[in-house]
Amino acid sequence: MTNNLRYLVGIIAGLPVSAFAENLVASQPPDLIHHWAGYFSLAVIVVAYVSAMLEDLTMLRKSKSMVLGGTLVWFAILLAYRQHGDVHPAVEAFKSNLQSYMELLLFIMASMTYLNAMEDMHVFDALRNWLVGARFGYRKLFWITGILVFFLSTIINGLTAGLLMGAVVLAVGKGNPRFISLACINIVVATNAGGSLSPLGGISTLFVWQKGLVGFTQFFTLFIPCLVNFLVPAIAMSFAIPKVCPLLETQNITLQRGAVGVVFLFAVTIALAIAFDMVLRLPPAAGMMAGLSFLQLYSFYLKSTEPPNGNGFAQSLAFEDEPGVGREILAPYSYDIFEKVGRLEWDTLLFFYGAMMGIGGLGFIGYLDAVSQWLYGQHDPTEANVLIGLSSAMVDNGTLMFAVLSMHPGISQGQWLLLTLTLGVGGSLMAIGSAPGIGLLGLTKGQYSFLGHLKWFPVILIGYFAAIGVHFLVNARFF
Amino acid sequence: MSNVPLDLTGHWVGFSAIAIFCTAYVFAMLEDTIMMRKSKPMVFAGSLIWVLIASIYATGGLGEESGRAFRAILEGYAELFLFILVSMTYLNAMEQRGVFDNLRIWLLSKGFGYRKLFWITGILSFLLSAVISNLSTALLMGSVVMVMGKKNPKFVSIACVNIVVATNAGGSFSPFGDITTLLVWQKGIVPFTHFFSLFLPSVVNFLVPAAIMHFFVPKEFPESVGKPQPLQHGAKGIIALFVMTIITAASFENLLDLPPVAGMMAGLTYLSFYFFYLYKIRVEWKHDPVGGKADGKTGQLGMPNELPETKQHFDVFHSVARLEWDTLLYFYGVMTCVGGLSFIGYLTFASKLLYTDLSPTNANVLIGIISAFIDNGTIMYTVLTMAPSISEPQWLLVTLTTGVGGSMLAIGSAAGIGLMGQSKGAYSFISHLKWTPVIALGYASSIFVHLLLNVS
Repeated sequence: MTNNLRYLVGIIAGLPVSAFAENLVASQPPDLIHHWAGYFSLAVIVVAYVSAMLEDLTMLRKSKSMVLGGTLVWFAILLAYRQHGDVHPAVEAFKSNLQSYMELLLFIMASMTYLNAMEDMHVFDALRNWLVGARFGYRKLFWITGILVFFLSTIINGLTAGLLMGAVVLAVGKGNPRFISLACINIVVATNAGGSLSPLGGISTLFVWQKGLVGFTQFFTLFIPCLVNFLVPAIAMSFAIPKVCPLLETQNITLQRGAVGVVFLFAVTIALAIAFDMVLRLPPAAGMMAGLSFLQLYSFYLKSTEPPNGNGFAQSLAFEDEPGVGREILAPYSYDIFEKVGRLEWDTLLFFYGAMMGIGGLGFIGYLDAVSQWLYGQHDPTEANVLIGLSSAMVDNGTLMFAVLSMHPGISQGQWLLLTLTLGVGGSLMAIGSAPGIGLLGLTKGQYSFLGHLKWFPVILIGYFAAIGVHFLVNARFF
Repeated sequence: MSNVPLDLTGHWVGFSAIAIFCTAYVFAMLEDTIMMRKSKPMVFAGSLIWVLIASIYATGGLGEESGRAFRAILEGYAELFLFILVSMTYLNAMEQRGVFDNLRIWLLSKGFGYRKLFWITGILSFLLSAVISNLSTALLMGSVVMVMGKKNPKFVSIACVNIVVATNAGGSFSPFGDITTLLVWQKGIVPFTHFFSLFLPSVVNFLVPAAIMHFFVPKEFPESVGKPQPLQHGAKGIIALFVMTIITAASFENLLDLPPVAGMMAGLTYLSFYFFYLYKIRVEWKHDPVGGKADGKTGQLGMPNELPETKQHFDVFHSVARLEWDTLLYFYGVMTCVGGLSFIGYLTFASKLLYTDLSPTNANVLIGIISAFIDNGTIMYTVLTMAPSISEPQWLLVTLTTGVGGSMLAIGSAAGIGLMGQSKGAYSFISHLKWTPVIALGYASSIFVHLLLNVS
């Protein structure tokens, strides 16, 4: 099993894991934990993370040092394997990391393309208008998005749920970065909390469920602790939300031709991603790509059926009529879908390349095993579970859960539930700790940032411990 | 994908998958007629084929199997995608610094005669396409030919044919030259250095038609245009780093057995740190009133509207974003489609038909001829997915034939298609077809040379 684990590396996004655990090689791989390559890798990743966090000071974009870090880690690993002979397992591990990175990249690429297309069609302007008309204030929106995503993430993949709500928040909060930042933090917390109480919600709960350690219905005993975990930071943050309504004036915005179609296709795409994952057992990214092809074909249809004196003309007229101050110039929609594909947040996407390859490399070396062995060997289970939850703020929780599961620590069912809880919600502590956080970093183009999330770390930490306390109160019978 | 759990070759899913792929391919080839970019039908078809396959597998409880097969394809795509991402980023950065413009202006300003120009553009195309993409090479050289041959369409036509042949030949002996060779390299079948045994066959492939066409090139001297300019700040550095990236990718693969993409990503960090360095220097210039004189731009630097442009100039991500998305997505479609057909079991069948019933040499020569009609990358990926058990010289042969086979028709390669679009009629399908016998002679002689040199 430990051998198996070596090949399970760096699955930051919530992706089914079975595919990575398949490559078993008979020969004994060299132990790099106490090898110069291992120490070197650790040091490189630490330096790269620090440099990424100091991005604003050094003006060196975060991806630059991270990609270098990820590259160096694998350089060191391969060099060490080369000395021992058989490099095959390391190369396979590299490739499986690359493949999980690609799934994340394609997923974000497809959803960004949809979001860019919708933005160009003024869908978000219209949505904001509607919300203003309905008199939803920012606080109300904050709570609505949080509660919705909490429940949504019990059923669907956390990344999908987070990105979906993130898109809504981006739409309604345009021009108010403070709201966007807070609402995104709230979404990350809510998604992780919601995902922890259902076997379908995330990779770590899925593992526990599949192993038969916790029954399907028993997960729902985590409902109250998870709710507490979500509510404590949310209440604190809601006081920091501006009390105003999104925009004071309403604009007269006409949707572009085809906007309704694009929104509909986006809904279909999300449904496809979920269906691909749950029914067809294909990566959700494949569903997103299928959805992207719908958008491509639809924009081709729109282009080829465009009336000669269509929107562009009407808009230029409208603009000439009323060149009033504060009025937005509505650019005519460009049907070039590739221009929308290209508008990705490359700094963040490349940062993940480095982070996933780097952390994946450390996992491959065996440091994650070592950490969990040390934890359960030296500490009592509660302490170990709390600590491992905290460490999931830095490392992917699926990987950690797999590491613990493969150790078979003899702990009670209450402790397994606790572990599920801490691993699930521990990822909320930092922006990079969970798939929704990472996805939102990529989606929001800097309005939700690592540092913005870090500011609320204390509050989220209180929520973390509150959830654990409540779990001991409510579920005492399982210990 | 060696052991396929279900055989769907006789199943309706299999038949519809073939139908879907063929339809999508026809749409992709009619790109210019129906004005629909080639990636659109391809990505759709790939998705559809996998929905069909996976639904059959999932109902049989074998969902894990199909999921694994799909992820394996995705991994191959990841390597291709990131590799091209890095090399395109470098090309964009070079273009931004005017490297290619410089080369073009230099060629225009020298006042070469048509015959000389014919050879210079040919040889440059051959050499450049070994390093940068075939299409970019052809378009660059094509633009030179078009300016110089403004008054002589006959020269434009013949020089374009030469450029297409040279570009395809040059791309075939280098793993960096083309997607075709890149795919072979990434598959790990042929190591980096072994590609260069194709150098002589490729040279022959270029020289035979060029030597014949030489006598049909008009003997005039066009007027020279423009004056050569010095390279922009940082241009030489970027070129040097690109060379280092190539070395890194090759040595990662050679020494560490890591996929070439790992080395390419390392190369991307060279560029991004270099951009950071350039940016830092620039900032210092701005604060230092004397230092700015170095490039005579002091006055401009102070202007408020200079900042965004400067930022963009030093933003490596700006270069990253300008990728050729249509091509990248098209290959997503091709890889999922072909991978799907292979998973169904058709490619084993085709491989048997080609490589067992014919001799490998005949099969590879045939594949090269087919590549005059079908996109090189698609056909190479298909052959690679078939994974016939042939020797390395035979793999090199198929690399050569698919690479240079596309030269026989104007529509056979990206270079030809690109030039047809660029030249606005001076170089056309028909004008290329006139030279097809000569190019076919070059094709045959390059195969002959390869068999002589590399197959014992």
